Amino acid sequence: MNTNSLLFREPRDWPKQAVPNARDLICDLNLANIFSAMSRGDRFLYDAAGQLLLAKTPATPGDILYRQSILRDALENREAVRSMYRVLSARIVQYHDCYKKSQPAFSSFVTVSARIKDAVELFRILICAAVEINAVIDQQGAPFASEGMRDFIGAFRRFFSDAFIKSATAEVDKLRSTLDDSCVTYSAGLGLGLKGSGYILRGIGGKKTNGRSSGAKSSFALSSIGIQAQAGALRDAGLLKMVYVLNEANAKMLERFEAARRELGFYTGCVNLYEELEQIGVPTVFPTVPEPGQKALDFEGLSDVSLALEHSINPVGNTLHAGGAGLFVITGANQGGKSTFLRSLGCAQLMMQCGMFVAARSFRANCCSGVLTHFCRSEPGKPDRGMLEDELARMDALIALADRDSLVMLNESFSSAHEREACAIAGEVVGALHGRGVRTLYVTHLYDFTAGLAEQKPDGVMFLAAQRNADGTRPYTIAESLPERSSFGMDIYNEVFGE
Amino acid sequence: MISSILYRNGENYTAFDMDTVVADLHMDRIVDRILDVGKECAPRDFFFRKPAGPGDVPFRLSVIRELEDERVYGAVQRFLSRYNLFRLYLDYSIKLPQPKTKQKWLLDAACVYCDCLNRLYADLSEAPLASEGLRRFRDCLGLYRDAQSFRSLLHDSSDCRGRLDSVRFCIDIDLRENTVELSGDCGGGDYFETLARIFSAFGCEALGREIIALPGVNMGPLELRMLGCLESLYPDAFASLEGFYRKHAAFGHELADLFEREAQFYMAYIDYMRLLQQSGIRFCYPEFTDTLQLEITGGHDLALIDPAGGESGARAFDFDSGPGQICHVVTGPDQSARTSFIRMAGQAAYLSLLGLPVPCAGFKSCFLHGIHTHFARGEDLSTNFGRLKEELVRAKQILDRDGGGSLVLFHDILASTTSYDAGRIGKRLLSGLAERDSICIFATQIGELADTDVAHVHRLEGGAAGDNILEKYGLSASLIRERIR
Repeated sequence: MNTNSLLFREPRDWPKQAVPNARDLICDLNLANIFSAMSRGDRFLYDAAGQLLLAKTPATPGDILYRQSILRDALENREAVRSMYRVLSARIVQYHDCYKKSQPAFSSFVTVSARIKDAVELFRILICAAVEINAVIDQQGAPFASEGMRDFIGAFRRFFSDAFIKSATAEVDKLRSTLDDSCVTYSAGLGLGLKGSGYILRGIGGKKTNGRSSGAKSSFALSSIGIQAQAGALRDAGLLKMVYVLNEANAKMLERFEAARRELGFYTGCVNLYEELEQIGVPTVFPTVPEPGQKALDFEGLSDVSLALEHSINPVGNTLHAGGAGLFVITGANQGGKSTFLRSLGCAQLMMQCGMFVAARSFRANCCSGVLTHFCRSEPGKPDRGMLEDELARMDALIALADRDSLVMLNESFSSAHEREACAIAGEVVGALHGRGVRTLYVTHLYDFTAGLAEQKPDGVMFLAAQRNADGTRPYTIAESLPERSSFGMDIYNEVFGE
Repeated sequence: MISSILYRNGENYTAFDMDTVVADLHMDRIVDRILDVGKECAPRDFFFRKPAGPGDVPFRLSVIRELEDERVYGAVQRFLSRYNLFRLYLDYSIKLPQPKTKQKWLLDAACVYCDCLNRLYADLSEAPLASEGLRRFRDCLGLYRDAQSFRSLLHDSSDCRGRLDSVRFCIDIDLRENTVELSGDCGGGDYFETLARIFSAFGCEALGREIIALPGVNMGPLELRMLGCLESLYPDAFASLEGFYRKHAAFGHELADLFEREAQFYMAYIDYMRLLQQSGIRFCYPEFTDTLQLEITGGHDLALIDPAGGESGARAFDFDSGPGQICHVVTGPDQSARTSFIRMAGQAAYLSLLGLPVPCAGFKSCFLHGIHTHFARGEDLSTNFGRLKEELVRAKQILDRDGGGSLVLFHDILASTTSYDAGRIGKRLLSGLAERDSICIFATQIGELADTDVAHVHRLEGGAAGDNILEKYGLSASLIRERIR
């Protein structure tokens, strides 16, 4: 069957496999808030959003543009996209319910004719879905503008043409009505050990329908139960092929419909999220990807989507023009928005790479092969490990996934070691990552490490710090600035102890 | 007419001792794996019999070398799988009860039989065979094919099969009237063609599916009734079948039977070798010298290698007895793989004596007369002896039995006495063996034994891991640079 994808220029399968660090990303970047906003309570949309944002194989820059144009189109034609998604969802759920009912209870026997009837029932449900989708397409006033959406609609309409729907329905109805006649005609030959072989089904239903030479004949009555049972089995063998044919046709149509449901579901989810951010007042923009060979990380007013959704506020956005810098060392005031900064960038990167808008006034960044996070945890992942060992084991897993095009985000890593040891470890790990050209963001309080690095003034390193107002309050912005010895924890202490 | 590819001048072998040599070297487990890997069920016994005829080992090596050739391998592989089918059909013809069915299964078996012998002969004739074993077999097969008995089997089977294959008939099943009618082929279309047209866009594969009706080899009551009808509709074809059966019911196939069994031995081993080679284990053909020596480079302990295990990091060992060096002591710390080392040497020698390639990068030895092993084991309570005494009794048996020119392997024995005593006893044993001109390898932890001029000493190194925590997690700067490419 001709398949057009709304996700890939060159049709590919839905990315079932998630990145190996999906759990870390969901937790570290608070992705659940985004999934929830996209799903509006629809479990299927929630899963689809998760699978696509965390897909193991990232979309190509070409696919990103492809999706952006379809998403713009979907935002213009929200109702049509939602209706198609709804039709598919309802019919697919109905299909699965009907399928479940047709499955025999444990140990009960289902006749072949019953199986054909079930398959016909399922077939009709799918044909209904096609008819309804066709109706949505035909009623759509303003045509879709994007190439992807138009190809998709066109292919669907061509495949489920009125002629196909008519003839398939007629044939299936005919089959259904002749089933109870119990007559079949085969031709066959003699195979190994004189077993019958090379069976061809000549006809079902009306007896002796086929023009036949008037040669010798030999017939007998089915006199015993055993012989009747075998005759029934022989008849069913041909009908069974019919079951296989119908099941396969059903499975293939269903597969196509499920793919369409997932893909339309993704755009429905994007529309949902867009509407929610619009309501809160968070600005959104379609990001741009630099030409191959160029390095860029430039944005204005970037905010953490997840934070915005959680508190229904428009958070303070950050602006950065980092160009080709490869290592970002982020220090500064406690509770000054360093983690939020990492999260806002991580979410934006993931959203950009699956073709979505991001929460910023402008955003331009390279595609990365994967976002890899290493945030501090309150407890070791395995109970028999110490904290430092746990951190190192997680870092080991991170390095195993990393390549030169990864985006690595380290949040207070190695803080479970003694400061001196931690500085040494940070030096090795962060130094090696930077040396290999891996874009790395490192939030840290390790002053000896950061100050030492700042002194060397190495290439491609940018020092950022969370800002603090003179009165100790926090503007929650990150700006370029060299590390300072204090991260103003006393502010927090004072706040807590009221001194 | 019979022609062996295992023995040059008729079957002649001495069996390896299952309780000592086979068990100590883990050859029983290795053979199980070889047979697991080999698709055909090779006769297990062949792996425990040391051929004793003169020239048997090089005779076998040249056969297996030839079988490793892709063309010959493919020909024999095809033969074995087809011959298996022949056996199955023959079995049906013997075991199934109805006379007509028996006759047809015999005919089907004969067709497969003739076909696979003809193909094998054609394939072997195309290949420029060099080994004495395969050439002799091919010539023998040629004579067999030219004989009158085979030619008449071939002619009669294909003639009779042709008649039965041309029978096509029509079946009408009417379950309301409860009747079945058979007649000559009715012609007409295939019901599924209409559906195929409608569903063509789906590329529906089920449409091409064969209809499997009444599967299994047994005949049910309906089939027997139908068969009766067909007999009356096609009397000539069935008469011809009966005639075939009467004439050929007991055709002989000893030549092919023997070839099947013997070829399975080699093929199973080749399959096993190939699987191991994929995970980086090297095999080589043993080289034989006239002087007493054993030289192994890059040898593997097969007991540690799981053929299904994929990439293998198994350790390889070298051993060189050197000229005139008869006694060898192998020592090393715990976990330094003394056991693997000595098993490796024993297995390589064992396989070379079977006339098979060995899991080594290089292997050179004299024609060993035998292998004796004496590995430490739990105390045998039935003998009433203490452990040391039991060990010494067994050692004496080996010394008594050994007529020289053998490989003797001692492993971790004498552990139940003081090391001073063990050193003295060990040296005695070694000099006893030296007199018999057998190569002896003594793997031991006993320091006193390693401090000797009676024997050449080999020390194995045990590996210890670094303790730097960053190295442990692969996180030192240099390791990270290596990991991120």
